[in-house]
Formats: sequence, C-alpha cells, structure tokens
Amino acid sequence: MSQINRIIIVGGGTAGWLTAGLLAATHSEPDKDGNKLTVTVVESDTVHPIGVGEGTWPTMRRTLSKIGIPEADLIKRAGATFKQASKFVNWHKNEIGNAYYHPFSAPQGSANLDITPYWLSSQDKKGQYANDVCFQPALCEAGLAPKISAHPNQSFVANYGYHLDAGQFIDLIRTHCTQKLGVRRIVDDVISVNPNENGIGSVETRNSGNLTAELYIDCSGFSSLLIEKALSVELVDASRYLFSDRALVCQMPYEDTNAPIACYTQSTAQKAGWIWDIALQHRRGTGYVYSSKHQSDDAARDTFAKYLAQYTNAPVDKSAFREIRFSTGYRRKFWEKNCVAIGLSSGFLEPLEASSLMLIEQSATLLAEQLPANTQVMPLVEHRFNEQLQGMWESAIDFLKLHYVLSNNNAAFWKDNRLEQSIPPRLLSLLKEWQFRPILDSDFSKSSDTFSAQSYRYILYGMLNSNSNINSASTYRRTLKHAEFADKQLSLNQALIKQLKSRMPSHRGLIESFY
Amino acid sequence: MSKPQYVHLDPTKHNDIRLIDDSSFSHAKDFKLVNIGFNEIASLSGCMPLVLVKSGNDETLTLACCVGIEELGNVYCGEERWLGHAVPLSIQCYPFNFTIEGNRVNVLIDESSHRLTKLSGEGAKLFSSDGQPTTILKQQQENLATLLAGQEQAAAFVSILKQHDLLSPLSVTITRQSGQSFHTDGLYSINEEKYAQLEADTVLQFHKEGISMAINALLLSLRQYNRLVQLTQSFDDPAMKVGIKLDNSL
Ligand SMILES: Cc1cc2nc3c(=O)[nH]c(=O)nc-3n(C[C@H](O)[C@H](O)[C@H](O)COP(=O)(O)OP(=O)(O)OC[C@H]3O[C@@H](n4cnc5c(N)ncnc54)[C@H](O)[C@@H]3O)c2cc1C
Repeated sequence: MSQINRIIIVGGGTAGWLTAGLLAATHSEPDKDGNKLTVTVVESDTVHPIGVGEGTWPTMRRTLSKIGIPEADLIKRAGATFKQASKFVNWHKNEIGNAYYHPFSAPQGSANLDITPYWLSSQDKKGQYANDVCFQPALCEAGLAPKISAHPNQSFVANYGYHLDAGQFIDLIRTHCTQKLGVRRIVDDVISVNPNENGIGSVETRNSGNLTAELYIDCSGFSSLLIEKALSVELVDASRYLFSDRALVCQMPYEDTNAPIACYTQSTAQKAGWIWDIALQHRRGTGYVYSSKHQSDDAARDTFAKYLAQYTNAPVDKSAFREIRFSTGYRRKFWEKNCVAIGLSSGFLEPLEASSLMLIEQSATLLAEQLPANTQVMPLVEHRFNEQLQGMWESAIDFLKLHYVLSNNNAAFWKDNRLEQSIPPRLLSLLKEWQFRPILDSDFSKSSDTFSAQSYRYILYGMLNSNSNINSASTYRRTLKHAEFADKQLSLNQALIKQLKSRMPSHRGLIESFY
Repeated sequence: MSKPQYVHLDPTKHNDIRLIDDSSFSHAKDFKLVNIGFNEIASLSGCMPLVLVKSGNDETLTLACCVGIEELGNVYCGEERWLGHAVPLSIQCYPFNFTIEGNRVNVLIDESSHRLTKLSGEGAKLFSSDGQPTTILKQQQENLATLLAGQEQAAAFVSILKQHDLLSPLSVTITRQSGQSFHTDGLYSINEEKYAQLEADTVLQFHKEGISMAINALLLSLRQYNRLVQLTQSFDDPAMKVGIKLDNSL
C-alpha cells in the first residue's frame, strides 16, 4: 500500500488544467510529516488542445471560485461574456413561433411551488412556456445583462454561465495553477505509456524521461493515450441515440465592433444537425454539428456557409472551416485501476447543452473530493466514481436526446431522431408518462441526474403544441390547490420583466464596466 | 454658475460623455424653493419644510420644498455632502431633465454642467459602446420617470386642496444675527380649521387616497424651518429665528 502523493495529468487542454486546479486547490495542505500532494501536468507543444468548447454552465462560477480565479480575470483575459440561456431556433415550429429558450434561471415561485401544471392547464392565452414563467428570455431578447455591475459582491439577478475563448481560457487557468497553486508543468510529448498490474506504471516522455505517480489522469483528449491506448477501456457507443459525428467550426469577427453581444448560445436547426453561435467579446464562435449519414460533407459546408452569410458582407470562405470528427459515447469505465479519464478522453457528446465542460467540472470535483488517501482504498473510490459518472453521462444523453424527439422538422435526420428505437429507454418511458402528467421533480431524484426536472420542462414545454394531450383537462385529475399563487407568479413575472428592463445595463455595457 | 444648456440626450452625440458624482449637489447651492412630487412628501417632510408656491404670472400653485434662505442660499449644500437625509428628486436628477413633447417624454441633459467630462479616468459613462444606456443612466431615467409621475400627482393633489378650499397664505420671516430680516410671501399651506371641518365622507375618502397623510405631513414639515435656521450656524451672520404665520381663519 502506498500513499497517494503524486498525481500526473497527461494533457493540458481545458480538462487537464481544470482538473489540476481543482485537485491542487482542494489538497493544498501538507500532512503531519510535511508531505504535500504534487500535481504535475504534462502537455505537448506539438499536439494542440482542441480549441473549441466555449459555452459553459452556471456551475463554472463555482468551479472558478474554488480554483481561485475571479470573474473579472475571466472577462478580461479570456474574452468571456455572460451566458443566460440557450435559444433553440427552428427546432420546432408552432403557432407561437419557431424559437424557444432554455434559460438558466428557474421559474417564478419555484422555491415554493412548481407552477408548470397551472400554466399547462390554464385556458388563458399562453405564450412560450419559458417566457411566461421566467423573466430571463425577455432579458435575453432585450440584449440585457444578467447583473447590474462588475462588482464581485454584487449579487446577480439572473443565473448565468459564460461564453469564453477556449485558448485564452486555458492560458488563464494554466498561469493560475502554476503560479498560485503550485502545479508543476512539463512541456513535452508523451511517447509511450507503460502499463503494469496496478494500471499505469509510468509515462515516458521525449525529453523529460520516465515519469511515475500513484495516480494518473488521462486528459489527453480524443487520443485517449492512457485509458484506451494503454488500458484498453473501450467506448460505449451512443451513436444510435445521438447521430451527429462531425463538426465544422468557424470563428467570425464582428462586422461592427460595437455591436450588441448576444447573451445566450443560439442553436439553429439545420437539415442534418444544428449550428451553434456563441458571442464572445471580440468575435463569434460558430459551428455546424451534423450527421455524415444524413448529409455529405460538401453539402454540410454549403449549409454552414449559407448560415454564416446572413451575418457578414464579406464572402464566406468554405475552405477555412475546420472539420472535427467525433464518436459519440462514453468509457465503459472512467476510472480503471490507477487511471482516471476526464474530458474528451472519457467520451464525447455533441455540445448541444455545453455538457462536456460541465462533466469535466463534475468529474474533477468528485475526484478532488473523493481522492483516495492510498492505493488500498483506491478500488472503493473507483467503483463509486464509475457508478456516479455512468449515471451522469446516461442522464446527459437522455437530456440531449429530448431536444430531438419533439421536433416537427421532417428532414430525414429529424425523422430518424424520432424513431422509437433511437430513444434511450428511460427517456422513452418518461415521455410516455409525460403525455398524461406534468414533469415532476421526483422524476430526477438521483444525484447523478445532472439535468434537473426544470431543464426538462423548459425543453419539453418549449416545444409543446397546443393540441397535445397534457394540455387537455380530460386526462388530468391532479388537485390544483394553489391557482391563486400560480396566477400571482405569472403576473409577478411580467412585473419583474418590466422592472429589469428599466434597470439592467446592456450585455456589452456590463462587460465594458469590467475595464 | 453658468446658465444651464439643456439639450436632448443622444446616444451618438453623448457617447463619450461621463458623469461625475457630486454628493453635495453643488449645482443647487443657490436654490431656495424646489418643486417636488407627491411621492416625495413622505420622505422630505421630516427633513425640510414643504409648501405650495404661486409660480409665474398665472395662479398655478406648485408643491415645493424650501431648501434655502434669501442671501444665504441652499443651506443643505455642505462642503462635501448634502446636509439632510433626503434629497429632492429633481436635484438628484441633475444634470438631467425632461420635456414632454406630444405624448413623448424626452430626456434632456445640461451640457454646461460641471458634472460632465470626457476624461476617461473620471466618472462613469452614460452609454456603452453599443449605444445602450448604462446602469447609471438607467437609474437617472428611472428617477426622471418617478419625478414626472410625482409631479403629475402633485398637480392633482393641489387641485383637490383648492377644490376643498383648504389653502391659506403662509408668511415666513427669518431674522439674522445682525437683525436684518427677510420676509417671504406667495407661499401657502393647509388651513387647519377648514381641514378640521371637512365632511365625514370627504375625510374618509382623503384617508383612503393618502391625501390626509400628505396634508398632515405638510403641516408637520413646517417645523423644519427651525432646521433651516440651525443649518446656517456656520455662516457669517447666521439666521437666528424664524417666524411662521399661517392664516387659519375660516
Ligand atoms: C465541435 C465541438 C464543440 C464543443 N463545444 C463545447 C461547448 O460549447 N461546451 C462545452 O462544454 N464543451 C464543448 N466541447 C467539448 C470541449 O471542447 C472539451 O470537453 C474540452 O475542450 C476539453 O478537452 P480536453 O482537454 O479533454 O482535450 P484537448 O483540448 O484535446 O486537450 C488534449 C491535451 O492533451 C495533450 N496531448 C495530447 N497528446 C499528447 C501527447 N502525446 N503528449 C503530451 N500531451 C498530449 C494536448 O497537448 C492537449 O493539451 C466541444 C467539442 C467539440 C469537438
């Protein structure tokens, strides 16, 4: 049995540095013999980080605060902006419109009561679900910020995550980790990984020799040097649920440098996938995620170019698009012996709800919290970690798939997405039940349910047709005792919108106040 | 101080203008009577006398607060700060104001104001680079909206007082240490006798509409003339006493 004193992280992308930061910040004290945990990141300067991954969840605020990076640094040094929601355009068209929001803030009154059943059964004229129950879509539409000022003690009004420049973000965490948290950095290529009976025996580098540790973290991205190449832990394929396998990526400068900055990630449905559009301070990051089985690469380039052409007068150079190929799925085991995979090495799901960075944060936080003291108790933690992460990935797949099953787009990609055999079993049974009852908090009561009932409500009811069953009182026998409270929340929401519009600065205004 | 030059506030023209704080509100240092809104009565009445003033040539009466004394100026404008717990909204709104053109309310700004600068190290911007109002400006716009609403309510309040014949001339005499005294006319307050004689129905209605509370606040606020006198103690030849005469005859 040996104590865990040394951790080697292979890979210095977002996953590697976030994991290093969380580990070092959580274990900064020496033990009684004066031994401290050493965290070493080995990163190559020939293989670059993937350079995408620019939308986060609100969880990033806590992660950064744990690591010790102030929000102002993120804004000033990573081109970051505020993200209040995802806006889904053309995923579903109905009487009310062709777009809906998944905001980060909860509906009005949700601390006391979920008002959704009242909204559903109301006979009054309804708008979009999210707009009726939550103030945040209105803030987004008006281009307003989620908080009044840059002041760090300023309690925020609306819940938010960030949009950030992936490359600058890595620089920021790297500098912080090495200068403030004592993380060691080795710039070198790992040329081979030597397995032994404990898992990984050592990693061999080109110029820095053979490196050993008690615990190894695989953050080597899609190359999965440790978990797959050395330990042969295969990927559980999930492409039967989520069909996309390619992305075309393009960074777009703003035509007008003073243009308003969108405060949400926009996802616009296309023939064989969807396009993300993320607004940073100095540029937009866009990408077309599509299924190569449903559209040829050339046609996909055309689709993407057509989208971009709406936003620029300059000709769109299709050859400048970067193509990224990926497989959808997750590791059968995330923790195998003395090796833990975090980030792209642990699996990949299309970036529809920015779940990747969130899963990195969750994995690294769990690892830092549960870090075994020695090799003897390691298998116990391994088991718990794997169980928890498998649950999280499966729950993320269910949630992403939800976005597809409700669309009324009739292109082949979309129709295939609605086939029953393409829907994960748990989601399928919930969908059947939800035709007759509202989504309940108790539908998602496990700690591995990364997406809450509320997120499901925003998506499901965002794509509701007025003639759907759940709307009709005939199947509905639940007692609705708090109609007055619910009504009040709906009108409070309208009042709040009015008030916020007269108070909140524009999104760009908030960002400028940091400088 | 230079004469105000109010112009329409414009996101393009005023994009690089910055607003400097002034917690003594020194632009108001010569003010004596300041128009206030009905919604300010509660907060101001514990701080300064509230009166009605005949303004201009016509007979319009406006609701106002008294912040200054003849020759001594605004006694609330201290060297570094405002010497009261409440500041009339129209003073807080400076250097902004509004005009009503048709049914549009337009925001104006006093371009000659010492509170405006173009130096980047000072003050706070009014507009972000996307031409949208900053938090500071939005706060001022909200204040202007409150001011406008309050002044409309004040006009309604005054006409109710007139309608029930509740107004009496108020004369105020302030005597300074040197013996010199100043007399102010053209002020009005509530005739307590007449107020006491109102019909029960009217009293009930006044009560419901907050008119009674406002009337009481106005009457009580006259005691604040003593505060005005006190606030002059650091001046040369300070005010020593104040005489208030309110005609309460029926
Ligand atoms: C198209 C696309 C869009 C995405 N959008 C989002 C999003 O909006 N939100 C979100 O949360 N996530 C998104 N993601 C996911 C996100 O990009 C990743 O989860 C995140 O960047 C983490 O990547 P990583 O650090 O695991 O891998 P990488 O960034 O690939 O880093 C791998 C690291 O390993 C190092 N390395 C590799 N081989 C060696 C070697 N032999 N020796 C030494 N070092 C080596 C490299 O130098 C690099 O430092 C997206 C992903 C894709 C593909």
